[in-house]
Parts: sequence; C-alpha cells; structure tokens
Amino acid sequence: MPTRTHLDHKKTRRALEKAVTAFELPGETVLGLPKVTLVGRLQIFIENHQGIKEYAPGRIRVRTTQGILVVEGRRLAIGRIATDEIVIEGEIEAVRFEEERGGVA
Amino acid sequence: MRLPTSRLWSFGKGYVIIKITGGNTEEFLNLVARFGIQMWGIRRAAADTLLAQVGAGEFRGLRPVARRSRCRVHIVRRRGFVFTWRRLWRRRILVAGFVAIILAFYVASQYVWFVKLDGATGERARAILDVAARSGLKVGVHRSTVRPEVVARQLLTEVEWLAWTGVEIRGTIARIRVVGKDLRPKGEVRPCHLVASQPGVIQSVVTMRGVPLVKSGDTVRRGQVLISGVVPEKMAALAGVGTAAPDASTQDEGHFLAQGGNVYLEARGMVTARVWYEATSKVPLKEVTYKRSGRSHTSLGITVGRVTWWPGGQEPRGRFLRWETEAFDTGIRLGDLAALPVTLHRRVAHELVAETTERTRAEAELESRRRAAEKMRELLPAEYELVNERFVVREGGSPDEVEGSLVYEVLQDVARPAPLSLGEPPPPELQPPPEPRSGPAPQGQ
Repeated sequence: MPTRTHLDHKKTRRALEKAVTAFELPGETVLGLPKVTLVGRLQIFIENHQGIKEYAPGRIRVRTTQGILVVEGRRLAIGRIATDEIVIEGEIEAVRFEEERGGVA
Repeated sequence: MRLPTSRLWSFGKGYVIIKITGGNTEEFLNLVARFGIQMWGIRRAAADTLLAQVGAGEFRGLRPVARRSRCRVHIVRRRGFVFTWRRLWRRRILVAGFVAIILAFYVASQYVWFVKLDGATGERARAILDVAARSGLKVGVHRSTVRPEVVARQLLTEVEWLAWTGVEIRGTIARIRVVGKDLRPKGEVRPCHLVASQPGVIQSVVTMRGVPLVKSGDTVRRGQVLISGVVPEKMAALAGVGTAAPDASTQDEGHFLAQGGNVYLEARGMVTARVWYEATSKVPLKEVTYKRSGRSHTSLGITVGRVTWWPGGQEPRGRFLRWETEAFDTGIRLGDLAALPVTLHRRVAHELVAETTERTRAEAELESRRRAAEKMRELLPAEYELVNERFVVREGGSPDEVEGSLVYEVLQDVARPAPLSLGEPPPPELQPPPEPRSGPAPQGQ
C-alpha cells in the first residue's frame, strides 16, 4: 500500500536525520539535503537541487527534497546550471522555503 | 563545487549566445542540467525568452532538449577564437595580404632610403657623399651594416676642410651634418681696417699690424678707422711689414699685398677706449601688471589637409577675462617613412590677473634703477671694465612716475675689423703730401 510505505519511509527518514545530527554527518551527502551557500548578496549556490520550478528576474523557485527554495531579489540570473548545482547571481534579497502546494508537481 | 570552465578557456573553444523562446523554459533548463550540458550566463530577457551561453560543441545536444520542452533555440551570437579563426580563414587571402604588407613595411624600414647632408653643397657635398658611400653609408644599405661613428671618423680624415661631422640614422633617413673649417689657402690676404665699434675716448692703442691713426685722448665716432689696413708703399715700414719695398716675392708671410702704389694688409691690434652706456627706465607710482593666475585651459585641435577642427573650441571664451596662449603643434609621422597631412594642435591658455602695485617715490626710484640695470646688461659688450657708475633721477617729469637714467663708464676694446677691397685709397691722414711740381712723378716713368 502506498500509505504504508510512505509512513515507513518517513520513519526511516526521521531516524536517519537524528543520526545525522548525532554523529555530525554531512546531511547533504547522506540524506541528499539541499546545501545552500550565500556569497554576500551577489551569489547563491544551491547543491542537491531537483530542478527549477519557476524563473523570473525577481524570483527563482528551486525544487529540493525539503520543499521549494525561493530566492527573491532583483535582476536574478542563473550563472550556471548542472545536475547537482545551480548558481544564481544578482541582488539577492531573501531566501526561504515554502511547502510544495497543489500536490505533486 | 565545480567552477564553470574559465572564461579564457571557453573563449578559446568558442561558445554561442542562444535565445530560447516559447514552451516551458524552466523545463528546458532542468533538462539541460539532466543531460549534463554546461550552460551559463542564463538571463530572462522577456517573459517567455531566455538568453544563455553554451559551449560551441554542446550546442547540438540542445536539440532533443528543445524538442522535449517545446522551446525554440536560436543562435544570437558566436564568440571565441574558433569562430574568429573560421572567419579569418574564409578571408585568408585578405589576411595574408595584410600580413605581407606589414612585413614589407618592416623589412623596408630596415634599409636606408635617404641620405641627407647639411652643411655642404655642390662639389663639396658630392665629395662628402662619396666618402660616406665608400665607408658604407649610401642609399639601399641595411641599417645594421652602417656604423655612424666609423663614417664620421672617415669623413674627418678624408675631407680636410671638415671641422666636425655628425652622422645619425633615424628610421630610413641617414643624416650627415658637417661643419667646415675656415681653411684659408696660404698666401691669401683679407685686407681690413680696424674701426671703432663704439664711440668713445681712446685710452690706449696697441698696433700689431697696420698704421694707427688715433692716439690716447682722441675722441672717436662709431665706424671711424683706428688702425689703417692700407698704406702707401712709401710708408710700409710704418705698418710693420718690413723696410724693403714689398712686391709679390717678398711678401711677409702673405699678410699683405701691394697694388697701385699701396700696401693692403690685415690690420691687427687692440684699441682700448672709454665708452659710455646709458639705460633709462620709467616706473609709475601706481602700476598695473598682468600675471598668470595658475589656472589654465587646454584646447585640442586637429588639422587634416586644409581643414582644422577644434572640437572644444579654440579659446577659453567665457572662462577667463584675459589670457595668454602657448601653442604646441605635433605632426604625425609614419615612422620616418612619410609625414601624414595631419597635425595635432594643443593650445594652453593661461589666465592672467591684474595686479596693482603702488610705490612710494623712493621705492619707484629703486625699481627704476633695477630695471635700468637690466636693460644695461643687454647693452654692454662681452668684456669690459667698469670705471664709473652713475644713476640720476630726472627732475621735472610727471608727478606720477619716476624716470631714472643709469650711466656706465667702461673701458673696452673697440677695435672691429672692417674689410676693405683692393684699390681703396689710404685714409687722408696717410696720403702723401702733394708732390712739388718740379719733382719727378713717382710713377709712370
């Protein structure tokens, strides 16, 4: 049943997350968590992304395992895009997560 | 973190700027990432348009990406060495021609194309160029084979009338400059008087050759003959040229010539005289002078052919009330090969400001003396002995100014050679007294 596996999956995930914190393991490699690095307000490196959901000069939304990472700012450009990493450049004003709404995208 | 391939590297390999329109552009980007295509510099140009850069070799791989995301992809611009090289290759004949011209220019500039000579003309010039050619400097030789100092030395040894030579090679022009010696053939006489260069009172006369006509205490005018260079034959002994009647065979070291009963010689001697010099200057008690304020304005211009253009105007109108201008002009040259008909002009206008000086009478007198002394410096000869100095303020002038007069009394040599031509009679002082009628005529017998 999908519900059961989903619950099982959630359980193991939570256990893993605890282990990662307890043993100070790198979450991005063990759990595939997004790693977000800001360089001043000029650049933002997003590792372990799952694709771009929206790209507008004022807002870029990037899918991650933790939900959607929203980068807001002005004159945003994608400096580079590769399977595992996105570099966004411009005047970055805000970085936040939002829950994925409207079911599976 | 994998950094994007460096700019220089991507330039070398070549990249294209592409425009992605329509369809789902976000999906397009995600597919690009999944296909492992390197893409950078992605910008949103319009709501449904992206601009991005991708390696020239990876552009083909975008086709399936575009199909799946229903986007259209166009190349906006090609950049990089690969494309530049391709363009050049297409016009390789033109490029080769261009390179050939530059090479030809370079090669041509290594040779001497002109030999210019200053300081000699005609036969003498031909002789010098001949010697220069024999020592390796002539039109058509390679610059590096010419050794200017060797040519100059050779010229000095072979051409006896040269006092100095300078040889230099600038660009394709070799320039020989020569200065001749005053080579007077032995026996050539240049007869002359010694005349007064300044009016004055004679102090002493020392005669080495010739007959003195003045003595200590005499007042002389400017141009008056002091020592005569022409003497009647009978008085030749007076002139210090020997007692024997001079003729061509007995000439004394060639310093005199006899002609028409007279002896012509090059007068030599020193005639010291007392000479007065006066310099005056007026100094107003209130004086306005103009001095540079230190502010300046530079205007630039260019002349091409006959048209001169001053982009910013030629003069600082509206900036300065009063100014003086310094001008600098530069011609443009293509190496030393040719002068272009282009001249660059630079005008520097220095702002002048009025400065009012007010003086008391005493201060004005001092200033007057200072200025007179300045003028005096230009009047005085190179060598002199100051005997007396007097400064007098003129009375009865305008009440607003001081007029002063500075007088120097100096001792100086006033003798100056004045050439005379054969056939000129001796000065009246040396003319023989009229012969008595009964006596035989000295000549024509």
